[in-house]
Amino acid sequence: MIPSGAERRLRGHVDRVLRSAHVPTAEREELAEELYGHLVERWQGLVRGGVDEAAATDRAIRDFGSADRIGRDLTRTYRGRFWASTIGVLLPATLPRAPQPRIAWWLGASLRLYALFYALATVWGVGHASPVRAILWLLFGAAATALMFIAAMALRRRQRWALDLAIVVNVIGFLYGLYTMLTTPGLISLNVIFSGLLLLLAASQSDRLGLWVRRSRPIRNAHAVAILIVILGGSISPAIAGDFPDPTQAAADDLHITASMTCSNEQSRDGTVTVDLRWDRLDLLPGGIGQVSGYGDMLILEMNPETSAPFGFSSLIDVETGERVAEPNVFPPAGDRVLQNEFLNGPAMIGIEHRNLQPGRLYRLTWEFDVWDGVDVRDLQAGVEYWHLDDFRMETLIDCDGTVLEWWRNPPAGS
Amino acid sequence: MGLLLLGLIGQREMYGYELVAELRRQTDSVVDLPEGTVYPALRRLERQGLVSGRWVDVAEAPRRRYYALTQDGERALAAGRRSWRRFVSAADTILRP
Repeated sequence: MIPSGAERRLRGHVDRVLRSAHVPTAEREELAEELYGHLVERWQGLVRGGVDEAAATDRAIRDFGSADRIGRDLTRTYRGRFWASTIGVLLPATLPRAPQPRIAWWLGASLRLYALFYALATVWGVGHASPVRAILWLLFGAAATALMFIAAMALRRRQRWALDLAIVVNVIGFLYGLYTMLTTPGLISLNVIFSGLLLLLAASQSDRLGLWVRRSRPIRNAHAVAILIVILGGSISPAIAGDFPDPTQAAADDLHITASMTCSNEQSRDGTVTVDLRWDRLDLLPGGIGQVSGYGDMLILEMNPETSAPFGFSSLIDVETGERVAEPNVFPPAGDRVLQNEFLNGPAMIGIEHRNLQPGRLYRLTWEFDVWDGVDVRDLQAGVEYWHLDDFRMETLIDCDGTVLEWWRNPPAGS
Repeated sequence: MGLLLLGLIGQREMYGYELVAELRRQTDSVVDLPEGTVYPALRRLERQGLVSGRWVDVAEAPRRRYYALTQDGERALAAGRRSWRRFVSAADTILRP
């Protein structure tokens, strides 16, 4: 048998090893017994060799090796290398015996709540974004969600990194809520109230929180940087995903579009605007897998209502087959932006189901228009716009003598 | 480490502390790792089915867990020995003065 002081220290070392090791509960007890048996035998051998008891205890513990390293090796044995180098580093294996301060509990709850919001936003975003953007959103959203759930568990296990992350997440939530309130008059943001209150309480009880995490295992700078990237990436991915370049989506260079205007002689005073368009390639799932219907593109004719106006109902026609692929007077999703333009009216706007188009085919739209009495057709001008989703729009201005200006590209109005 | 432990356990059934001591003795302390690192390695070998452990009671001391080679362990040890000899022979060809 060994003295109680030595026994307490040797058992303490075994406890530290097992606190660092993610080992199945069923095996923990036997493993503890095996490791403790080793330390005892080493201690006895040293004492038999003439080393005094206190020094033998120190030596047995030192020769056994660092608790962190052995714990990490055990984690790798039971959970795998990847798990050991990520979650195994961030999350101690056992819960502390000390009771958790109330504010730490609330900070953990806020992490779980924000994790839930991130998860819901990710599910929505992945369903409505184009493929590459959806993958980007999924990667950051899923990583941020998982990280916050792990942090909530790690905070219960008294880890400083989790406390710091809870503060950062609540600061982000508070700032986001504040921004929403400032940009939406009359809105009261729950984020501002909830996170603001938590941050105030955390600041007022910083001493208690500091004591709670004082025995925390340090994490490497690389892990801290990775955590920060994941959280910031998860926070801003909803805002930036839409603008992230996605090679699966068609670009302005893939669209070939021409417009021409014919005006009859001054006796009849009528004319036509003809637009030909062809896509080299089309977007792959531009609205994501969750958007199965809805209009995508728009073709718009703008004429000055004081001089002329389109009439009749013109359709977009597949030139080769004569099939109608788009009709006027249907409202595209971006119609609210079109309505803001006072020069537009029904017949001059065509909503195009993007999925009705095929790459490489020529489509044509011919508008007829009336010219008011007394207007000289030489003064007529018409604007033609092609809006492609929320990605870009092409514009030109034409007259009876031919194109006045070249096609130019603009970002969509209001974007 | 795994192959060395298989080699020692292949000599006779041993427990953790004994394995560390034998490793040190048979290698003239050339292999002298932190003692605790032997246990993750033993558990890994056990999970791979290469060794099996059994508890043995000891008078007035904590009981010991003895490890023995399984049939898979014997095969792994034989394969490991062959591969090690090939490696040593190849390295020796280059490094021999």
